[in-house]
Amino acid sequence: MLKELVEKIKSEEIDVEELVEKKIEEAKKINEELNCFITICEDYARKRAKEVKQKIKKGEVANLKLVGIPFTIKDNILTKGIRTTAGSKILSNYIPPFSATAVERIEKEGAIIIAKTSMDEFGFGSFNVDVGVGFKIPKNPNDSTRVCGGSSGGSACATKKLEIPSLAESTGGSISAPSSFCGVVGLTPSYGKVSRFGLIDYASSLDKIGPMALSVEDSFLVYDIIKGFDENDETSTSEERSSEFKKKLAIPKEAFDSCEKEVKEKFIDSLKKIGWDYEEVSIPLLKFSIQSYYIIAMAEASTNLARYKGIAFGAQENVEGKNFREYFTKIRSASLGFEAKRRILLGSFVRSVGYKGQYYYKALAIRKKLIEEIEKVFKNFDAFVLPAMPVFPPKIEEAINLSPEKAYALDICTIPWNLCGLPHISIPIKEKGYKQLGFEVVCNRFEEEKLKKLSVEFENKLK
Amino acid sequence: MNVKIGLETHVTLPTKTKLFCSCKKGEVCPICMGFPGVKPRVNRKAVILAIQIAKILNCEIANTLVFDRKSYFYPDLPKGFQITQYHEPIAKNGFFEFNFKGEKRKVTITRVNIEEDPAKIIHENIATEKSILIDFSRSGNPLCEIVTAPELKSPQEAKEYILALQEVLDYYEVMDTHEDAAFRSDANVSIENGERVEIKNITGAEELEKALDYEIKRQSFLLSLGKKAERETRGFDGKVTFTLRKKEEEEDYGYIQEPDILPISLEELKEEAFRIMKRSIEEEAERITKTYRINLQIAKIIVRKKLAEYFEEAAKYFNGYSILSKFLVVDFLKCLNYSKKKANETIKPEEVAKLLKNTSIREAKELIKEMVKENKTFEEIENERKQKIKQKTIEEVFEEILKNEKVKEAIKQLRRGNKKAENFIIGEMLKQSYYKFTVNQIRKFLVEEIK
Amino acid sequence: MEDAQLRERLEKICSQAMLSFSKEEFERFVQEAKKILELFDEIEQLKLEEEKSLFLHERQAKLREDEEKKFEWNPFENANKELLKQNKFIGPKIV
Repeated sequence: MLKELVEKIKSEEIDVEELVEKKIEEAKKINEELNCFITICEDYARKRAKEVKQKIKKGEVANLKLVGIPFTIKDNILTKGIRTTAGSKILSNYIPPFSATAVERIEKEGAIIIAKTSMDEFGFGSFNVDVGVGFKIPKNPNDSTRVCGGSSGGSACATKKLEIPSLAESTGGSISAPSSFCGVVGLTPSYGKVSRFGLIDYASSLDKIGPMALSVEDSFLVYDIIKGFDENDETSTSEERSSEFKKKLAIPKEAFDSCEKEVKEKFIDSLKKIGWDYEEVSIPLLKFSIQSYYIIAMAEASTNLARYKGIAFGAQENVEGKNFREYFTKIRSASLGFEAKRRILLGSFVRSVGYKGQYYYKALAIRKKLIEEIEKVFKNFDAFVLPAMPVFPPKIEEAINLSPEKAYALDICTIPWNLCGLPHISIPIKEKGYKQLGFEVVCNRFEEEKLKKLSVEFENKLK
Repeated sequence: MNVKIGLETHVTLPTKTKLFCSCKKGEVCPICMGFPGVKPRVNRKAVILAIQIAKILNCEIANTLVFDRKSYFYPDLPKGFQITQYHEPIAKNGFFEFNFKGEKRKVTITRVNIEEDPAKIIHENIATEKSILIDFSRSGNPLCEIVTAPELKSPQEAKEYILALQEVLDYYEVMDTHEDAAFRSDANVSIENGERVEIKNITGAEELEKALDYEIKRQSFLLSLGKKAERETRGFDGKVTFTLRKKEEEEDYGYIQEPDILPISLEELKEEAFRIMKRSIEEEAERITKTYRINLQIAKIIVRKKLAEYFEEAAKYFNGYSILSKFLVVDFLKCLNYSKKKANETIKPEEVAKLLKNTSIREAKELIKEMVKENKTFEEIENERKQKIKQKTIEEVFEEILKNEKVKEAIKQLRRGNKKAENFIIGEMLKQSYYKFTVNQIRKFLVEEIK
Repeated sequence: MEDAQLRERLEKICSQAMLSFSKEEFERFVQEAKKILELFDEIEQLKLEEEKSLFLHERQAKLREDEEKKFEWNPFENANKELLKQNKFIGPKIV
């Protein structure tokens, strides 16, 4: 779909400035109702549209793959000159002096950013209800009394409603969850395949940038542009792997069993439509991926958020006469939301003296073992398949009142892959109404090619 | 009194850019200022230099390079954590030898690690009464931390250790010697097996001695009152140490491995580091000793004090190598220190050679002072002297040679009637006056003088 | 873990992390933290040795060459103009 649209824009069948103007208007309209945007950068978008139009007129766009395509960007990905908040009050006026590498790469191909999308504060949430102080909760595009899913809720909502792609981010499942709840395609690449330079850190060993779009082909189109080694991020890589097809899919028992009955039924129906050989596989350690993930993620988050204290950037106040402890505490306590504080504190706790062994080091051990166990499964199977979320989108009130440990447990369908850095995609099972569900496919590390082949085929069969 | 001192010294590495970003030292960018979204990129040269320091200190060098995050809150720490090496330092279990009061001392180096410098807090001048300023230009500079075991036994010894360490690191060019480059130590000191007290951020060797002197006095005083010194962290303001943090308030740094930097194997880097390293002091000294047949100890000093090149150049023009070597190490060096100059900032080696060739040692010791201070060549100095001499009367010349003990003795002898003594004195007068006067003139003069 | 011990430890961590709560919020935090830690404590049953390394294999990352490269940014383009006018920050000059 994107490919055709790009062709029409290049041939000027569709006028890029008109297209962008249209999307800006739509964005403003849906934002009134659904709160999916933190910033709509209309001036910037118009300026970019003009630039792209000139390039088209000069004939300089022959090889560019995203010419004129309007994009939304999750608000924890830095965009130069456009306010970037990570969904938090502590950055509510922060205008980055540089863009993330992923953003630069899509803009180089002609993409036009029109808005920054809503998210859980710093990525801390699976339902996009843990928004920062003063921010609004985005509403599900299919039923505005329900949640979008998180933490990239705004991105999924915008992708669905505006029918334009988005750059989102996942740490524990933040691309799959909202993709599943809103009914769009969300691709989470292997950890390291997309540069994290310019991504506001949540957990450095778990964060990944990935695209959301309306089709598998579109999501991989965007992925191909943003992927690959970046010298600014040492953990990034261009490595690609392949393995022969075993023509067999694995259902991870421990995750599948946690799903609601109707979710399971809907999933199995889809699986049958796909027609591949499948088997239920048990990995007992999978259950503990939740603990392992949250311990590691919180520990790293507590260090990553230590830079937000009112010095040099972000929320600031008059310092004079204050002792630094007072000042830091005041700014942080007033500007960070409750979930953010919780994760910082528990994150500090699990790496503190006396507890580090039983929590942090144990969590690392679990992760290591889980990677080994999963590797064994991939010897005989091409991919894991399962529902992207164990439930349908809950009502906003329900999600807000969910106790944290119960909320964390609901990540079971996405956390194991995120913890181990495996590439996965959520493909929407066609459905009207709010009972959206993503069909999740997980492949082995760096096997995005295989993932693409499988998901293109499955998407077709699920139409 | 049983005194135990351990030192943690921070040295800035002489790289062009900072440790984790490509800023020139003194400039800033989002990475060294800890802005959101940035990631560190390790400076290869810094790692090589650290490996060289580890080799100089005879350490076991790690096989893998790993970093940790040390988390704490302070205005000078932009990210709220410092990227350092806690669990796996780049080197450990080494030693350092230096001379103290004529004896050879050996101190155990427990670890050497690489870490980034925090920013600098400015209290005076521009800052107001009500606030301080944070200067980020130093933030992210590459530091090498050298930690000793608590084996130093006195403030004086600690000072000598620091001076010797500085000299050696300077020789191998593994230390940034600019004025604003860090050479800070934290000292841990305890007396009579009591609690150890940490004194933070002492710059240089003099300050260190002062701080330790004070702290030991303080602890002894407490002991004499029957009290014990508390385990705590103190600062030094130039005169006294003062409490910064008590033990209960001590931070739990919550170290985790730095997730933004992948561990890498150090094999190749070790190879390169050793290959491009300057030849060791011992090797150089031995080479010079063999080639020029001079004393090994003196050769070592020549090498350490970075006079080897100077020596070898001068040796081309004067083959009294032994004399030359001693002269450089004693007199020349003294003049350099006095004028605060380096060997390449003053007269050429050839001039020293000429000086030694054409004058007595006694005169050379005198003349070198002005030559070094005013950068005067030997010819210039000689001409000046000749001018002065030309204007001198025979009385003045006589006054001058009287400074020589031998001449005084010779005069006594002459008074007693020893004729040989007269010849000697005449000889001296002739030399000193550059043969301005004739032998007869001098004889006549002497005859008058003796009366 | 004992209530009082946990509470004390959490208080200390709050202070070290430069965060403060109102009394009610702190109560809520502690109660919820207990439950979360109970979830975490389930890993005790696993017979796994502690793992100290975050990384599972050495990838040959190439280190950065020691060459100067100016970061392309204009630090004051979007800076807080109010504070800048009041000279609350200076730069980018060496002070």
